[in-house]
Amino acid sequence: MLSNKALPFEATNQLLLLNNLIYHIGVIIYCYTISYPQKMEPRQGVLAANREDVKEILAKILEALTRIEDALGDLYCVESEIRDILRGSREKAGEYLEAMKVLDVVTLLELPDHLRKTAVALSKLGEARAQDVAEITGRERAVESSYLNQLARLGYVKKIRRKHEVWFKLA
Amino acid sequence: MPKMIAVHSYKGGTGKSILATNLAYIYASYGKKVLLVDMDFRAPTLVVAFEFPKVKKYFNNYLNGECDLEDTFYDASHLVKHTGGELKVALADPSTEAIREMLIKTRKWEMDALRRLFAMKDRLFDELGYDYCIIDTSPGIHYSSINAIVVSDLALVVITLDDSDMDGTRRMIKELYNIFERKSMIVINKVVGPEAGPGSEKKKLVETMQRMFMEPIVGVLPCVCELTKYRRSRIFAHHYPRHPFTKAIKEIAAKIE
Ligand SMILES: Nc1ncnc2c1ncn2[C@@H]1O[C@H](COP(=O)(O)OP(=O)(O)OP(=O)(O)O)[C@@H](O)[C@H]1O
Ligand SMILES: [Mg+2]
Repeated sequence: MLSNKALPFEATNQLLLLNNLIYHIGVIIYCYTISYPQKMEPRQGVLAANREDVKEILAKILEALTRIEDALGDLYCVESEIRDILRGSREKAGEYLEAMKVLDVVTLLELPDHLRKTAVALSKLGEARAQDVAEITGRERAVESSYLNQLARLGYVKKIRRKHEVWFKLA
Repeated sequence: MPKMIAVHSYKGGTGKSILATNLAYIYASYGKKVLLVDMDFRAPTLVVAFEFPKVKKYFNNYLNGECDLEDTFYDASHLVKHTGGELKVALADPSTEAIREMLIKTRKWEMDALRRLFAMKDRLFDELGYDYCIIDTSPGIHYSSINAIVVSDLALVVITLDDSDMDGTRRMIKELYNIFERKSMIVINKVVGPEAGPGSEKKKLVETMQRMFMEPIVGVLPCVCELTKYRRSRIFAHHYPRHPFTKAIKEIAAKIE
């Protein structure tokens, strides 16, 4: 297990965030259970009031889940960052960006065809979401999303989250 | 219709710079708005061809992120006055220091340069209303040339009828242009004898080459001994509009349009 000291600042932060979110989900689910103490079928009388509550609670759960999903995505990136840093025996997380592989034309030439198309589109945009890349390549958004994630895993692009959106960025 | 055209070749001295310059001039003389860019950072030539009195910013500076794109444009529209056309030129820095500096650029710099080239393309065609951008490149497989090819809509490949040249060119098309799905067209330069003439020999040459390269041959330029006599500073098509060499380049201009 990695010691906290070896983790880059960002990673520890993300772990805390995820912990925090899980705690909040717990609270929300607890609230949900006390709204329906006995059965799932609400009885007349309490129905009107509870429906609104449930809606609100479910919305909150949904929001929280999205955030967890985001945080997990970040963790995924951070994990590969850590691996890269450790592999290159680089102590400081700050050096990570320099350790990232560069998507120059020679590298583009070496990529498999399907990834090259995505990578060229990203070279053009600098940073982009899967749908922006899809607009250029004419392929499905989901396909581009998968290719962009592959490029992130290979260390050519950085995956970042911005307001519930996933962005991919060149080194 | 290709707007951004990279003029490239496998070997040096095939006639890229002459073709690029004259093609740019010809489009401008047709009333088009044209930018000619020297991206042969290893051996800049357009600086000699145009002799602008005072050059403050070179295209190198734009790629370094040191100035705006338009700061690197120099106006040569006086060559095409009364045609409504516009000819701007962006030069490569010919100083030894700049050439050396370009040789030791990092991959990261090359990647940023590619992005700046894409940004230039958007700016030229979407905002500044250019019709064409013609890029003169270094021969062979070099960073700046590959960058130019990746952003361009068309790679215009100049060959001469010399065996090693053709083999290298064929490999380059397969291993570079095709991989980037870049459209390429071929110009045969310095052709001597009847193959350069209007007869059936020329047609045969074109057919043979087309089979060999599997790409369209868009021009056969005659070898013009006088060409070396004329100083580089002369834009050939401007001074000799009715010369067969000029006519042959005009045919290329029409074919790729
Ligand atoms: N059709 C031609 N007939 C005779 N000479 C020619 C012809 N085309 C080009 N040349 C001569 O060949 C030389 C090289 O031309 P040019 O500089 O245009 O080639 P290039 O491909 O740009 O070279 P480099 O690879 O060094 O940049 C020049 O001296 C030019 O005058
Ligand atoms: Mg040249």
